[in-house]
Amino acid sequence: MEAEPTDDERPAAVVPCVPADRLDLSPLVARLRKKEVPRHRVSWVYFLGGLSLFFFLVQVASGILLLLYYRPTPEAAFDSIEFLMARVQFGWLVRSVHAWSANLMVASVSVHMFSVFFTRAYARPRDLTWWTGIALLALTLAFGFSGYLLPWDTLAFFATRVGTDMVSKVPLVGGWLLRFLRGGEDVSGTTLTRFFAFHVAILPLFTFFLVGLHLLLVQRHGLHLPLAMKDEAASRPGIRFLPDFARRELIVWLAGLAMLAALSTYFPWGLGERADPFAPSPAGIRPEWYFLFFFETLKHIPARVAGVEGELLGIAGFAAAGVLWSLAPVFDRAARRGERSRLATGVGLLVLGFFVVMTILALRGSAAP
Amino acid sequence: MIGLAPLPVLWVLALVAAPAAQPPKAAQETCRPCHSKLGGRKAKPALDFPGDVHDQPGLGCAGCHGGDPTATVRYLAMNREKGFRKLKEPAEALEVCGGCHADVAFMKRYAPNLSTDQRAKLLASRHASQYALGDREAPVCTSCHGAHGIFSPRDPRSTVHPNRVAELCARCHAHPEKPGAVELYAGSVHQAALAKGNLSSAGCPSCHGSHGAYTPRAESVGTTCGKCHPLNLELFRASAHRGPLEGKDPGACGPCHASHATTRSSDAQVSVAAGGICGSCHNRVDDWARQSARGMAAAIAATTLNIRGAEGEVAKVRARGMIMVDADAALQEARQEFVQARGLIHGVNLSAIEERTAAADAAARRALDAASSASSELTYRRRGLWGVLSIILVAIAGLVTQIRRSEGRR
Repeated sequence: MEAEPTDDERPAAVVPCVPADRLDLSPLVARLRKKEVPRHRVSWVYFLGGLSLFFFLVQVASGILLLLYYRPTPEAAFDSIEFLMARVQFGWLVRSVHAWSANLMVASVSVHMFSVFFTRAYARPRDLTWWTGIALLALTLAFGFSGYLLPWDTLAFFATRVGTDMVSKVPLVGGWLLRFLRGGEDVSGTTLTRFFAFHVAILPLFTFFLVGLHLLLVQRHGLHLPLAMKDEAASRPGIRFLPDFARRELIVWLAGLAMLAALSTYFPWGLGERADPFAPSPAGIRPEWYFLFFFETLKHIPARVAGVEGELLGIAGFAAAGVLWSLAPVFDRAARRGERSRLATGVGLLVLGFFVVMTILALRGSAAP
Repeated sequence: MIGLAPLPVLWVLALVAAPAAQPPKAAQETCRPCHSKLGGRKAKPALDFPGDVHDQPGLGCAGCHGGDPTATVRYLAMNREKGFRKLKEPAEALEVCGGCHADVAFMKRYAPNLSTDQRAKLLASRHASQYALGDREAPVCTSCHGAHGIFSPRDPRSTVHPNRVAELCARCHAHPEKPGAVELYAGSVHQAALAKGNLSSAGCPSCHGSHGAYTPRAESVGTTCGKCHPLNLELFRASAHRGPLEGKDPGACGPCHASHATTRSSDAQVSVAAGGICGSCHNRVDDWARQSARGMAAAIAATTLNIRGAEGEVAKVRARGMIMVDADAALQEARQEFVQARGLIHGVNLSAIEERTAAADAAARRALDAASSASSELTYRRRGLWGVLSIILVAIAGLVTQIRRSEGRR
């Protein structure tokens, strides 16, 4: 019979208070200590994924705190948020942090996606990482859309009515999709219950799984070194993942936390008027900023184009563009061969420019008297 | 009285004729297909009638005109022996319309909620007496409702819809050369409210009646206004103003509010100074009521300032992102108390008004206190933020130092 190892023989604990013979993380730590991140002038792009993860974790933590007070019914939703913000100690902070963090998460995920696109980090073998990232972006937008309704204020109510109405344009299954999203013919208490379920149960389930897979793939394939940075990275020592890169990432997270705290304090997230389903639609209905480009584009499409409904054409166009964008690893053969591609850069700039211009147009339009 | 003589006869005839009013359904009619092809004046009834309130339940042309609506030749369709009548004389409208509308049993089948005393009211009205006196321009049913395009009074297309009824009355009662009731009403608060979409605001029939139109005399002005403003009337009748004003020209409410040109009341009207209403009666310097009027004006003015000040402060803090639930509730209470205080002016009771304005002032003060504590809370939050940011900055500085040391060793 083998003798028990003495305290001196046991491996050192990595997680404080947890003996290493129960949870021995030393091989993982050793691997991370050995791992190096390329050092060059655009190394900052490596922090964007981590920053998105930070905002996601803030969302989870603040979302759990919100759940302690939020009541997902048309009668109580608005009052519960108002109560939280006006009466609960630091309730205003929790909700503002949740709302600001959601917006910053969409922003950081979007910047992360464009940075991956422009550095061609989607090329094989990282194509699966790209696709999980695209799915995570879609989930982030779905989080934003479903969460927007939950305070049950006027703007949210009518914006959700307009937003969900879009799906009714889809041929054949549009009506079914609309009823699936709304839980009926119109936005009602059933829609609120449904959106709440999406927001706190269904979407998080998929997100946790995809975040795990995404991180696993990033660890498996390592960080991508852009073609233009190869010489510079070769001439400079890499950044040790543990502890130097982790410390830098922590600085970025702390900066994100500072930004969240400042925004939440100086611009606490507002609460409009309680939604009245029987009231006429108010002026100035608009979605969150990250959907503005979509709605602005639909505004510029004529009512009918070659006999087809303009709105349907717009939605189909965006769906097709989204699919083509996500298939970048398939189309961009140059990136697979490790060669430059001006076409891919041009497409990326076109998409980015379109997003920025349409968003600015929408903001100017809604700001006009 | 000669003109009125045939009216009771027509009424009796109508009562007798009513049970026979079983018109054929519109679908079987030949009238409209023929008339619509005739063009011009003869086609107009056929073109106007679809959508008419009588067309909807299927009451066809023969319901009023008689004849044989199923016949395909003119001679048979418009045969007087079959009861056909052209209905060109205004007085005939009383018989034809009243025949059905005064028949309780008949109306139960089509419009059970509709009153069946309209004909009786019309016969008792000023309009009918004018007609009886020989005024052939005096209105009968069709003068106001039309003949072939009649809609429910709730339908905006109806000539008697609340938004159009003043225009209808103006057809006969307007005097552009010498502005009277119609012209004064056009600038009134009641007309303005109607134009804004408040259909319960007073139009001509609200005070004068519709079928039983009659000009309210001085003694009935108070009761007439009190139909919509019962609390104000109650206060007025309990006040010192009742004795000298009610029953005398221009009626209980007229001296302060005018009758047709009723404008929006303002706090400035409660004054003995120029522009105020109180001074127009209480114009003697030794009139004790002037002191009371001054007291009411002062209480109202002070509360107005207090509420506005509180509203301004609450708005300022709200603009900085604070949720002002308590302040909003206090402001709401202040406004409610103030509305009551203003209403109490009808009772000209200074102490009652001051009691209400004091309650409004107290609520406004609570709103102000809530705004002040929200403002302090904002300052506290911002100080706290700078504390948190300092800690974060120190942590970042520490991490930067550690990175430099670590990389320096390499």
